[in-house]
Amino acid sequence: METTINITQTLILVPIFGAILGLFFRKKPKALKGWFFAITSLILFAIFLNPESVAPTTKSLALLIALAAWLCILARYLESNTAFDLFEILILMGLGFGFLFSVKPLNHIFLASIFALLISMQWRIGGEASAPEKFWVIGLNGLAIILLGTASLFSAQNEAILLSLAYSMLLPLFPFHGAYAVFLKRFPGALPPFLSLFLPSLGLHGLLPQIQMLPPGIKHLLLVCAISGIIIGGLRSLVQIRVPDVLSQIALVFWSVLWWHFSRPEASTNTALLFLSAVALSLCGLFLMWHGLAARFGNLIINQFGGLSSAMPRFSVLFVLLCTAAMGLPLFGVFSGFIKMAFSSTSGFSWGLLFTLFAWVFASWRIPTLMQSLLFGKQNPQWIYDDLGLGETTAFSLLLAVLFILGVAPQTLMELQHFPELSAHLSATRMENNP
Amino acid sequence: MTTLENPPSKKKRHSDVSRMRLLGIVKLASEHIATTWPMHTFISRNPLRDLEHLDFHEALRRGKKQVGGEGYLSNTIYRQYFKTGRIRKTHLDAALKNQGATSEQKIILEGRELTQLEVLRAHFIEGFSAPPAEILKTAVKNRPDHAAIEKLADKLSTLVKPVDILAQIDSFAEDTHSSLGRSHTLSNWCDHTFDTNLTETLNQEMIKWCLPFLDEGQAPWPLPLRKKGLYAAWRILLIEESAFADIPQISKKIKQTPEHPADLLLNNLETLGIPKSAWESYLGRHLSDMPGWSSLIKWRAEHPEYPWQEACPIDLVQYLAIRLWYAVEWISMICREKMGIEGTFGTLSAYIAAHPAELFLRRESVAARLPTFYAEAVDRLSHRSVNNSVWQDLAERYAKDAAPKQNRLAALSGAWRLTMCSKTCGLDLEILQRNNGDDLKLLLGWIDAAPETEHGPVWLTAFEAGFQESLLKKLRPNVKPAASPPFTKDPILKMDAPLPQRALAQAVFCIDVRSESFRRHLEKIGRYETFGFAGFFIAFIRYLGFGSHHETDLFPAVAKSKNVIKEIPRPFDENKVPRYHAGATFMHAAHTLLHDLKENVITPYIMVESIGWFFGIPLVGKTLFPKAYQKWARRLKNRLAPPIATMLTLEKATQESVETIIASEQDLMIKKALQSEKILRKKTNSPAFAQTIKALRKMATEKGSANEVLNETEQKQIAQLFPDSEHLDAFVQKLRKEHFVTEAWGSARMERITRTGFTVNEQIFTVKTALKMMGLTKKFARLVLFCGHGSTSDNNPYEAALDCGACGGNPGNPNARVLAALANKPRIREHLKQEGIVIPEDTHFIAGQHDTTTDEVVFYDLQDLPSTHQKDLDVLAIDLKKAGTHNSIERCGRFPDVLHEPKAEDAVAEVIRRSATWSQTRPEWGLSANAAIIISSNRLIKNLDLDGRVFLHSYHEEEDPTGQFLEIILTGPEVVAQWISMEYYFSTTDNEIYGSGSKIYHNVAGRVGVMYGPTSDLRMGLPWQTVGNGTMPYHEAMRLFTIIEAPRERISQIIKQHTVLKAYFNNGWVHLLALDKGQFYRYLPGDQWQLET
Repeated sequence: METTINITQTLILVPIFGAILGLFFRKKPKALKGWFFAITSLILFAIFLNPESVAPTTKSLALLIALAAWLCILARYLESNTAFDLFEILILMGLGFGFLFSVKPLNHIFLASIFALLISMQWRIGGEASAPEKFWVIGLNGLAIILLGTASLFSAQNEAILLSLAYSMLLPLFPFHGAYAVFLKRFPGALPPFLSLFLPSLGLHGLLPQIQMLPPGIKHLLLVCAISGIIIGGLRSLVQIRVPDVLSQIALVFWSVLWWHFSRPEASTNTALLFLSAVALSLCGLFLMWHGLAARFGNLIINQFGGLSSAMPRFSVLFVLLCTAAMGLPLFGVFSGFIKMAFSSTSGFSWGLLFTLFAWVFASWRIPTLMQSLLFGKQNPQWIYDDLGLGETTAFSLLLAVLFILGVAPQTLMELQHFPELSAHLSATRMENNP
Repeated sequence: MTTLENPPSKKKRHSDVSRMRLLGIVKLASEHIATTWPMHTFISRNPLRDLEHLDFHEALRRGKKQVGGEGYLSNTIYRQYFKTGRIRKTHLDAALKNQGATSEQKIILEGRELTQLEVLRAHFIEGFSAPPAEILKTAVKNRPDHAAIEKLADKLSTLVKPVDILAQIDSFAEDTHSSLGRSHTLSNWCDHTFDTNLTETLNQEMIKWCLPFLDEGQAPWPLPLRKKGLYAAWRILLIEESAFADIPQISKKIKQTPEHPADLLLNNLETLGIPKSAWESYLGRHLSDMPGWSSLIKWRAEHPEYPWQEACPIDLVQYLAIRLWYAVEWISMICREKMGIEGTFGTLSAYIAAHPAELFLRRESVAARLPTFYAEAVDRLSHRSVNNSVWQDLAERYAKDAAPKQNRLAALSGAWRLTMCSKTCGLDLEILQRNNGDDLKLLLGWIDAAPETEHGPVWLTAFEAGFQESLLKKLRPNVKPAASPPFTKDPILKMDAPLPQRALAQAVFCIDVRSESFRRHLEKIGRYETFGFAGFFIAFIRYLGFGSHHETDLFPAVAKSKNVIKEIPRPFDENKVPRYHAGATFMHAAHTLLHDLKENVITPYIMVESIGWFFGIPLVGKTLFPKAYQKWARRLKNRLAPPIATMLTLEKATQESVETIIASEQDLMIKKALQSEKILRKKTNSPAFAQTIKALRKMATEKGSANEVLNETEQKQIAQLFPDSEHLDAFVQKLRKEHFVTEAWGSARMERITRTGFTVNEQIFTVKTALKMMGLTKKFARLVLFCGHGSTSDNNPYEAALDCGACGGNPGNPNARVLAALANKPRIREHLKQEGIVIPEDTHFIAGQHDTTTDEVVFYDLQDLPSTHQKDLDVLAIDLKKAGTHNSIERCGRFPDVLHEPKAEDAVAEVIRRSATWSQTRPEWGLSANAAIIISSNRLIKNLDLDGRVFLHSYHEEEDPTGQFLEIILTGPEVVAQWISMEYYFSTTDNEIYGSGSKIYHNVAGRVGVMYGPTSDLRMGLPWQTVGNGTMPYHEAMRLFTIIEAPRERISQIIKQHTVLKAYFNNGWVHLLALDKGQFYRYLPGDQWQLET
């Protein structure tokens, strides 16, 4: 146990100290990127090998976060200014590990720090966000901090409700998804891709123990919120004109599907983890792809792009594959996640199946048009096109490979041996529903 | 939401004068729209043909404005040509100097001298323009020298004229008002201002009607009522079926529309309130919104004799009437919803004048030029009914906020240009930063005076100069100096001398650029003499192939002809005809059955399981074993319908024989009628019965009663068949109405029969003109081959584009057969002898066809070949095969996917494979790379390798003292060459607009053209695979370079007489050089000639 604590403490401290040491290279973006790449590679390697005694879910989530950070750093398009977002990624990762590997109340302190850091980052970007967006970020994250601090004062069931509410800021649930959407839309550099995966992963980690404590009424409320999120996210994604706005709405749909899954008696940690990993990686990839475009051309509206298929062939091929994965087409993890959810019911017909298919359509129907708008049509002859570099190509190829592995080998890779709390709770719920 | 009620004026009928005036306006409005032939007779044409009365560059600007097509290659491509040496510095400098750039204007920056020419050259080669505003900041940020650029921008901020957004808003209202209805339709305006998708919606609605209406047999369920015309069909169908469009009470509204399309169009224009002075441009804009379908409709309307047009008439008035009807409805919907006003020109103009701030902000928002905050504010205000002052306040706030940012962008843009200039000219950036600003201003002035959007004309001139110089360099050694004696010992001039021995054979090929290399290889192999001649061999024929039911026009699209030539079986093979017909009928029936089964609503479900596997055979064969499958399929076809030896009907029937034919046909019809009416129960062939039939025919055709028309004997004979005169009259009426036994039918039939073949005079004229034009009037070889050309490819909608353009996009073998057969006639030869053309008795003409894909040559009508010439033919066949192989090797070198020069057998296999592979998007390059036409004697091109880029037309000025042959060449083949040249030119400069884009996305539409995906505008022009290789063009987009070996006065005289030639040569569409008295002279606009040094 002692060894475990030491390693986990190291995992918390390495990114934070790595970020601090990175200040030496703050004016040399290339060197900074290299340094951070080395740090994240080390962390990724360490998590992959250790610690064995940590719950498999926690290990998987930590691995996912480290992988996302590694990919974001590798695919970060180097502009001439300093890559300040990379510092924030490392610090967030350190604090995130703190939340994953520590226990109450320390884990809440780490999480509250993350919320506070996000608020401060929101302040830093300032003018980019509109007044309502600022309100969402400060209001929701502030509320989350208060909830984390006060939840323990209440009974176990109420504590679970309050904590679930706090975690719904991380794993977005309508109507508390606003802050998450603002982070994805407004934050600079590689932060949106990282946060698109990081926050839901923490949310899932925090939520799993609380689910069993939630009363049925609250679960029904979750179901309503999830369905609303799917419909609203799906519809709103249609009217968005900027890529991050579209992706943040698609993300809401995806995460609402996960919330819906939690409200079902058939809910399974394996399925949830598979779904979260695949979706989060797909979103991370799409946001990273967008980062590549935005860094080259600016935060333009979708219609201003066009003809990338011939101008940036490497980007186009990888983007098409990533869209295919994100849409939930076969051989990739999202497909497997959806299929597992759709067929999780033991009965032949289930409303869940229909609902999953419905949500699947909602989540994916904007992606093909997005792909078409960016890749086809006429190029702008005045633009300077610059296809993906080696780092970016490698990062996206690896990301696709991971998504592929999640798609074809989910059982062996994601099987969880230990998660007695949720399993027991799910069995009890099933019995209640089917006496 | 409801739409406007149709005003009563929609029923209004207009006078014929108004309608005629409208027709004229529509004609003018369609000037910038190309004419597109149906795909099966793909004719290369100039997409801007109707603008040829304008200067070339002006027409390109007009084309860009109207249809959005780029008339020049992109600067990136020209720069690539410069980097590879294809465009040389000397030519670029010369072109720049022509544009006014000089070395005299200069600035000196800390001792470094920069001339205007140097700066502009560098600007052309590197491109100093800053990226557009939307990505400028990001682009600067991504540069390693961004700090220096920003520093320079700080310096320039005082030099840059500050942006005044409020002034922009003021001018916006004026600009919008002046462009409304002229540069933009009201629907375009709505799209730009309210982010509606009205233009696209209109396009989709029109595609929905155009595609089924113009379909030529692809649709299993044809559009009903097509025979009534597009407008009538649309009107009736919408009255009966109102679910076609998203317009409330559509049936009621359609009922109120006038029956004449011109009336509806006039009503629509009046309802929209478009000023009459803007009608032409307004309708032109509507046509430009969907140029593909419009251009096909334009062609259909110009060809009333086209069978599909005869059956289903359509024209642009009908098209525009329908389009504008929808436009009226939808514009009124949008304007009411967004502004609460009627959607007319007048109300919109008033609204624009009263609400400039609102509309400016809306438009900026739609164009994504507003920052997020303002974009959201515009979005919020758009959904609320707010006072004009709220918009005004927002605009003022935006002006205040955005002006500094835009000023900064302008300064950054200037700094970018100067930075690029300094880097390219080897100038230290710090020198610019230290400068007081005046020089920077001057430098920027030079650069800005030549924006990159205007570089095209200069690049094109330089590009063309390089090619022309290299071609002339090749030709000069073959030029005979003036005043030289006809035969000297000069080795160059020896080429003009006749061959020392009689040629092994003479071969006449099409002028097509693909023939150039083939001719060259053939001449290298042996003592062959070749000629270039327009591939229709001056035989203007409508051809009806054996087994075909449709006549094909085998002459240039600019000409007309009525001479029908039929292919009929040779007498000795007539016994095979029934079997051939049985086989052909079987194959046709099988094909129809499969097609019907595939297209039916129900049958595909069963068909897939039951006989779906059958399709696996061609699928596997065509994919894995294309050559073997092609051979097998051909064998199977020959087994089912064995090929039959055929001949052509060259002779025109005499009046008497035609009358006999018609009479016998009508008699047969009367006999059948008697049998079907049960009047005649037994078959009889007695002379008396024949007289009865004749009498009935007389009655039916001469339109009189029995007493008036027939004599007594005839009346008696008829009385035996009919009990009374009433029965007789009824039968005769039936003969007229149902069996077409009328005088009119007889006349029509006679006209049709007499179109078949040529009169003797026509035959003599055809042969004489052809031989004289090509200069083949003496020294005939024993064999003379007239070689047309065709192509072979699979799964290629553009197949016709590879065939002979001079034959209307068809294979040219029938024309070659006609000329060869005529030239072999002793009677014709006798007449030619009197004209001074003595064809030796041992000279035999044969017809052939060069397959430009496989380089094989096949011969025709060898049954007529004298046995004495068999050996000559064998030798020729062997040498043609060798020439074909050499040509294949040469062509393989041009295919990008053939990486190494193949061996002979590999090259032959490769070209055959390309012709048989159904996934091959480039079976051959076609006429790609064509660049020039040389109209001259063989001497000028003797022994020259012209890279398959030059049309070659033989012409001997001494054979043409009056210039009549040259006139034919310039008004025929030259025009065809120019059309081809321009088709390739524009398909290369803007393949998306003037070309048809990538073949990968093509979808055959109604057998008339191709669309992108399931629904789109009809794609015109050539696909990228024909003109491009990867991202670079394969075809070099240049104007046609014409070289004519003839006296200048003769050429000038001909140009003066023909509007089309005046347009070509005076407006800069074609470059013209005359080779006169051993010197090249360049034609300059205004009938001037300049010695080409």
